[in-house]
Amino acid sequence: MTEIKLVSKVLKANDQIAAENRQLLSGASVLVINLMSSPGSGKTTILERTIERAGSSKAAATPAGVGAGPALRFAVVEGDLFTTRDAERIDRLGAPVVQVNTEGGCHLDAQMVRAALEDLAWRDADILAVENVGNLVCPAAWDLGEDLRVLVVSIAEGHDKPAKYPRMFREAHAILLNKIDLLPMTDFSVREFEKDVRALNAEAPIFYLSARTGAGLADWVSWLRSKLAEKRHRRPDGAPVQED
Amino acid sequence: MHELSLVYEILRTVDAAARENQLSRVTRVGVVVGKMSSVLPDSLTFSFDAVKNEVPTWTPGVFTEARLEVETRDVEAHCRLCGHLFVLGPDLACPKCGAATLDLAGGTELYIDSFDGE
Repeated sequence: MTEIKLVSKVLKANDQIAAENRQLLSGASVLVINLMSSPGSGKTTILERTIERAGSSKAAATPAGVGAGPALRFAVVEGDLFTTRDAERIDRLGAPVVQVNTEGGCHLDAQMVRAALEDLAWRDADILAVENVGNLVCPAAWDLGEDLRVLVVSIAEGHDKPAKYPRMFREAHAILLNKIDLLPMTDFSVREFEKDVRALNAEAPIFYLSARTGAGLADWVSWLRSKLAEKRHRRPDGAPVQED
Repeated sequence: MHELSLVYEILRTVDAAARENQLSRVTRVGVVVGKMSSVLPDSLTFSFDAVKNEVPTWTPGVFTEARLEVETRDVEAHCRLCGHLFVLGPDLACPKCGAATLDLAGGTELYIDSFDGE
């Protein structure tokens, strides 16, 4: 009997492809966001409103000028179990989009994103948005090659979600609390929600927004723009560009 | 629900390592699974036994007697306020001082640690 010490990550193959995706996309200075949430919390609607708002330089600016800037070009990978409904919604906005159907699979993996990139006009994009399968558990374990993990939670899901799905909240770079217009109709406690989010993740900004009314979208878009600028100020290997 | 595909990865990796080490029979595969890894140990074991003899391997029947041994890992929390170290439970607060600012470590492990063969 021989014991062989391996210490080999089970998701090694996925992580390898994710690293290749990251290198490919960073080489073209594309900011990649992995959009994750439960089913029905509003990922696609947020994406639609974001593309509308940031995709045109006029619409990008609020009266106060928040979120203003040049028009951003989006490319989108839509993950879904079986349907093409979400991709059709993005397509109507004129953004290049590819639908990935996981046929019941509970998350996207790096290979699915790599395959999708072959069919997607992403090279001219500023931001590649990957909308994951609606699921607050599994997507957290699969690196896709993204720069940022953006977590969407909606008011109707209840404020106990951080405690129930800690990994998602712990690893998120930004948290969008959507459907904020429903707040007066529910028992959702923003205080409890914030407390639990902060216990798990001290840094990620929380954006309070309603994709339906447009409230809070400007701040979110403005953050996206700042992250894009941050990325472009860096070399592809992640090191900051030396200032003269 | 993705445990089956993970088991294929585990079997593929161990099969290749067994071949490299000139072992024709694997009796134990040890994996480490964090409690935040989105993987159910029971489901992993069930899937392992269900497909271990179905996957194509370099040496036929290499996994016939193999069992999967799963070691789970807790999520450790370190209170930023009082420094108390504890295993994270359902409550996201320090059991000692009640503060809710924690640094978390571990719990996302998912790797093949070792295997036995001959």
